[in-house]
Amino acid sequence: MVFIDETSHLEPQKTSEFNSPKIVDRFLAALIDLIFFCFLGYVLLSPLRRQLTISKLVDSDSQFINSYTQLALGFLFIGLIYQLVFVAWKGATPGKLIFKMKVINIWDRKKPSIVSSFLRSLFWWVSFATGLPFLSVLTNEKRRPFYDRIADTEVISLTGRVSAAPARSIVMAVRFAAVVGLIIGAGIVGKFCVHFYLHGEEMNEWRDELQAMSAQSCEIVSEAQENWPEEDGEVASRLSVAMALFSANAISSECLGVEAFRSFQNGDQIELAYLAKSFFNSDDADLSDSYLKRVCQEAPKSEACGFSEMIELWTDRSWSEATQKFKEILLHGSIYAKVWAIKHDERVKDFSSELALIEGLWPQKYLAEFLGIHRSVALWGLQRKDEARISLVGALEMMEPNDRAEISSWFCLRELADSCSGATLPSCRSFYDFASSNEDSLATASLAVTYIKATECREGDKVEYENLIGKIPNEQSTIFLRALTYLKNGKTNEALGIFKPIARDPRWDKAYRDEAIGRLVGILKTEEDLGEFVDIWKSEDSLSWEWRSQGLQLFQRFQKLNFKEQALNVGKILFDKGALDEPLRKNLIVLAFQIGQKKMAWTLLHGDGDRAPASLDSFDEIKYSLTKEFEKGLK
Amino acid sequence: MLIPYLNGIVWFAKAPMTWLLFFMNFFVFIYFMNNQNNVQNQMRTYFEKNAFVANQGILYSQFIRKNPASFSPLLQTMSKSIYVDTDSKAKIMGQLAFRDALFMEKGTKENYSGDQVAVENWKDNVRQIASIQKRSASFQYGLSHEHSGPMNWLTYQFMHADWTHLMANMFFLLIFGAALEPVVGSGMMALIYFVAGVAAAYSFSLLSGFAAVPLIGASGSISGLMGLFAGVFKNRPVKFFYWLLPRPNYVGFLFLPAWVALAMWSLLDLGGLLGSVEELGGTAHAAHLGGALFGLVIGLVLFRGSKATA
Repeated sequence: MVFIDETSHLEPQKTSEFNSPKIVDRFLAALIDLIFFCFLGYVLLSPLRRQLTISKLVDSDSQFINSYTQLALGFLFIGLIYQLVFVAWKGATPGKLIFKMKVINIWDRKKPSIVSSFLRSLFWWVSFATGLPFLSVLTNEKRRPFYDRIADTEVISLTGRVSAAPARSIVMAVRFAAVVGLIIGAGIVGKFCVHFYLHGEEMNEWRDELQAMSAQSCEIVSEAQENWPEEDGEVASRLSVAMALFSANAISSECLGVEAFRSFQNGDQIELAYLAKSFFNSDDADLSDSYLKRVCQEAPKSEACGFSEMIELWTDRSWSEATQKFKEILLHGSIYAKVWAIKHDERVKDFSSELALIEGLWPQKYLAEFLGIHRSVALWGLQRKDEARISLVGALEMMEPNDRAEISSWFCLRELADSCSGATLPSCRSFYDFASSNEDSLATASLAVTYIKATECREGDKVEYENLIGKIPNEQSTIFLRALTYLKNGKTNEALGIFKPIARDPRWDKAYRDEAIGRLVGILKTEEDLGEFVDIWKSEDSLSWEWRSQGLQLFQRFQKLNFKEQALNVGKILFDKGALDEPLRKNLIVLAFQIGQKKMAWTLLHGDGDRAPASLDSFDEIKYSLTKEFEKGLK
Repeated sequence: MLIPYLNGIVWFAKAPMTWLLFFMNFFVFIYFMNNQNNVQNQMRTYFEKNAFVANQGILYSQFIRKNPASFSPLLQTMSKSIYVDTDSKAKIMGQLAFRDALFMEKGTKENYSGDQVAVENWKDNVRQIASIQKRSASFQYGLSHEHSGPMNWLTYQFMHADWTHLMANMFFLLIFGAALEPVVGSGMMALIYFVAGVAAAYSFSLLSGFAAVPLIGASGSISGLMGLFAGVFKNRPVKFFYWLLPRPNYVGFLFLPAWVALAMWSLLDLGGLLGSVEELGGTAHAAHLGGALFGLVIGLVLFRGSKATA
């Protein structure tokens, strides 16, 4: 393949002779031309590219639209001139020259005139833009797309590498494909138009919503501020609103950062801006701490300063001091502080206080999701489970699917801890439906554990752990499920060989470790084996539900295996942390009494004001006996 | 795919200086590879910090507004719009600030309004970055505002940012060096190679001045060889290898005039130069063009009528 000699000319040919180049050559020639004029466009239109970049940098919409339009038109123009000049001058574009093709006029078999070249170029562009007319190279008997027919031109090969007239079957296939393509294309466009006609307003809202979602605009803060209640008898500041929304996960940290930036620019509520920046930089602990320290330097007696001190107490896990601090902070009346107080109360299991705060803020439209979830949690914590379930259904409806999965998983796991009948309740149904259709979400360990438990409850003995391995895209879950398979097949030692390292190894996700401890407690039989996990359990966060759940499991297991001393130890710890409900407390008192720890039994009983007369109940008998013995002593 | 096929397989004996340059570049790259990786990893920790780059952008904007005469109208406009604008705009400004020698030098001594924790944190980070940069081979041997001594004009030609940068440059060095060396002589080729590198750096500095980040790489020198190639061989047909489809008639060789490679290369650079915004930096198009022009002039003047090129 070489460049064609410029002096070469075409021999006149008979019009009837069919001399169309090979299709593959034509497409390659078109591709090469495309590369050439893109290259030309890149060079010639570079000043416009520069303008476009500048318009983006200075955020000028009008300049951007101008530059973009000029760039598009310039590109079209270069394509047009490229075709026109080369066809009129050389009788072929460079791509065609490389493949030894020529464009000729069909009447005189010579190079096309300028007018004919122009017409051909113009309609070639239409073809290029829409794509479809090019297909007639495959279907037209003379391999002439419509721009060749309009310009009375034809592309011929000078090498003898020609293609035959298209076979009927190919013509039909291409036409069929074109019609199908057109119908699908028209359908898509039509659907869009109808949708736009019917839901134009909605689409505008959707666009507005998209804008609002962008971290920079923070439109939701403006909107919320208009409908925000007064704080401490004054109109809430924009930053205070943003802090509340951020605390309730209603805006991103970027949005909070922008609001803090605004506050700095306006010189307004600088101490709160520093507090906001400490949240914004929470991924950099040192920087975040520097911001916290700065809050009190800026305004030592402000609410923000009190809040920053409270965060330090939280970090040190000084819960009771933090509770005290919250009482001071809440006097100021800021909603963001109340949002954090709700989180705090939940953390320290003060569900009554949490519920009171939630009711005080209810119904706040922009915090509805947060309040709904935490109301459900508080009600659950107060053992008002039916109300919690009703509240949860309402909260789930407001949530995004991923958040919904997380919350429903949280509740489902707790429902299933009581009994498998929980699998039919709304939280488990909602979670299971979501997880079954979004298996990727199960890569999150806590969701995967709930899914495994929900499946066990649904399928009972028929559960196939091997099937779950394929569904849960998580390496740790594969190992965990293998242990469950061993357990199901009666290979307890093999299962223990997997569960024990999981429970001990802090590199494992906490959800799997907790679940492994739970499973181990149900399997292990010796005091020594169980003792190891009592030590692990003691070192965990005693305020978590998982801690309480594991403690109860250990307590009941020791009792079942008749290790009364150990059961009493675990039970006492649970009692001290307020994690024993009434039946279990009675259980513990009976246990203490039985093994001769009467003083402890009395301590556990003390405060029980119910002085029922002796009855058939062993607890009441013990209670009567203890009361007699110790109250005498006291007297 | 279309690549020049100039001297067939490039033998060491035919082009010893080309190979020497190749190995020198290669050796320098390997020698400093660990240093480069360490520095890049350390720097990355700063660039990835959520707040650092955005804060830098905000402070850079203040710095521009305080010293408008030292900055282009574009930067002045950008610095004003950051007030009501976005975090991402702040990040863009922060990226631009890295290139600005004046700001990187004097910015840490300036007083700024607004978030004082961010200001102190930024100043701390910039001091740490500066100490990392002092250990960086690219900064020591590249050409920057801080390092523009006579030796740097030569050493910058041997520094490469990464493997891709090195391999792309060495590919063209072998192709054009091996074609030229037998014709112009080893010593002359080496001389032109280095002087073209100097010319490239000079044209770069002429258009945009040296930035706070260093200019590195052999592409200016290799552009000089391309220019020399076009100037020496002019219209002589040069063999190119092409590959369109994996079929017999679509793979092979074709001949194009010697100047075509330079023309295409230079047009791309010209397009890049005219299309790029100076403040954003990017590839050193001006350096390429300067090197190529130097090589072309030397080829046309020194080797006019030379037997070797006849």
